[in-house]
Amino acid sequence: MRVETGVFGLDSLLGGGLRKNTVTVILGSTGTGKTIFTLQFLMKGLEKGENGVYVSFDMDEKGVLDTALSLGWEEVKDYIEEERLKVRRFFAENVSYLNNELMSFIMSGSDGNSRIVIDSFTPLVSSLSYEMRNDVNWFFYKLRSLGTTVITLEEPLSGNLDEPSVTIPLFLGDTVLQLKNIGYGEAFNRTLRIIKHRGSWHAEGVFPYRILDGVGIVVEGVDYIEVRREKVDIDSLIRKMGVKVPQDLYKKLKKMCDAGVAGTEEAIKTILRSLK
Amino acid sequence: MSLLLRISELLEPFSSDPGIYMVVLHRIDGVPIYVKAKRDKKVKLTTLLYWLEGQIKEVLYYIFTRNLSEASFKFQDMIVRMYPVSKTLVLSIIARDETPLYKLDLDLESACREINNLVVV
Repeated sequence: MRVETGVFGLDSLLGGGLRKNTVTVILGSTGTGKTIFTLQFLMKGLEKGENGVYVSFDMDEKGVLDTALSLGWEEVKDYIEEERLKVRRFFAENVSYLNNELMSFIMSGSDGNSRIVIDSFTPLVSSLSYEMRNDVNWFFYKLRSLGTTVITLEEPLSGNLDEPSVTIPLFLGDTVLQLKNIGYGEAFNRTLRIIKHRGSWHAEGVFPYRILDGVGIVVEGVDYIEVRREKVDIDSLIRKMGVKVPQDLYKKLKKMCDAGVAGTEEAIKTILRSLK
Repeated sequence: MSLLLRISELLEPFSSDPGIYMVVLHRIDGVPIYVKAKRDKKVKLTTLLYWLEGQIKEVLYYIFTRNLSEASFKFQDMIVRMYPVSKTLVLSIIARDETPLYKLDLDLESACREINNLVVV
C-alpha cells in the first residue's frame, strides 16, 4: 500500500509513493525546500481526510501557517482549527528523542494511519554518537507504528555526510531523498535524488525540481523514466538463449520483466548466461 | 516533454557513435545529470567517471577563466573531451583514442548550444 507524497511528479519515481508506516528522510541543505516538501506531504493527507502531526524545532503554529499561506495553502488554517493537524514547536535544548513529551504529542495526534512530520530531526540528533544508533532505531520503530513519517535532516554546507547525526538516520530510514540546491539559477539548480527506497523499485538518477506558488515542489523526469522502460518477453529470451530455467528463478525473472526497468534485458541475459 | 527527456534526445545520437564510449552531462559539483555508456565498456569507464566527478569544478574553472572552447585529456587508449554548456554544466565525451572527434565537434557544439538554451532560465 502506497502513501502519496503530495509532491507533483515524485510518486511515479517512487513506484507509486511512499510505503505505508515507514520513515522517510529528506536530506538537504538550507534553502532546498525541505519544509515545503513536508507541508505538501501533510496537505495531501489532510485533503484525503487523514490526520497530521507537525513537530518543528524552528517554527511555532503561526510560523507553519505563514509558510503555508505564502504558498497559497489557506486551508491549513481550517485543518489546524479542526485539530486534524496538530502543530507544536519543541526546543532542542529541552528535548531528546526519548523525551516523553515529544512522543506523547506525536501519539496524541496519530491513529496508526496519520502523517507525521519532524522538521528538522537534526537538533534531536546533533550530538549523536554511533553508540546511540539503537535509540534512533527504537524511535523510528515507534514512529512506524503511529503512521507514515517524513523527517527532514540538515545536510552540512561542507557536504560532509560522515557525521553520525547524518549517517545513522540515513541508515535507519526506509526511504532517503536528497534535495540539492547549488544556487546558480539554472534548470538543474535544484535537483532531487532517491538514495534508497526500501522494498520498492525507484527511479535512479538526478531529477530537476522547481518550487512554484500554489503547488509547491514539482519534480520533472517521469516521462524520461517511462521512455527508458523496457518491454522484455522472457519466454522468447529463454528460447533464444537455449537454457533451462528452474521454476523459482523463472518467477523472479518474470517479475523483473513486468517491472520493465531500464537494463532488464541485459541483466536477464547475464543471469541466463550463468546457467549455461 | 521534460528537460531530461529533451537532453537525452539531443545526446542519444552521440552515444550511438561506435567510437564514443560514454556521454556524460556533469553539473559543476560533479553530479552526473545524464550518463549514457556502452554496455561492454561500463566497468572500464567507472573509474574514469569517478575521476571526472572530482575534476569537473576545476576544469570548468579553467574553461571559463581562460575562455576555452573545450578541454581534452588522454588516458591510454581513451580520450576525454569536455565542452562547456553553461555556467553549471559541462558535456564530457569519452571516446576511443583514434576516433576522429573533429568530425563530431560541430555537432557537439551545436548540441551544447541547444542544451544551453534549455537550461539557462
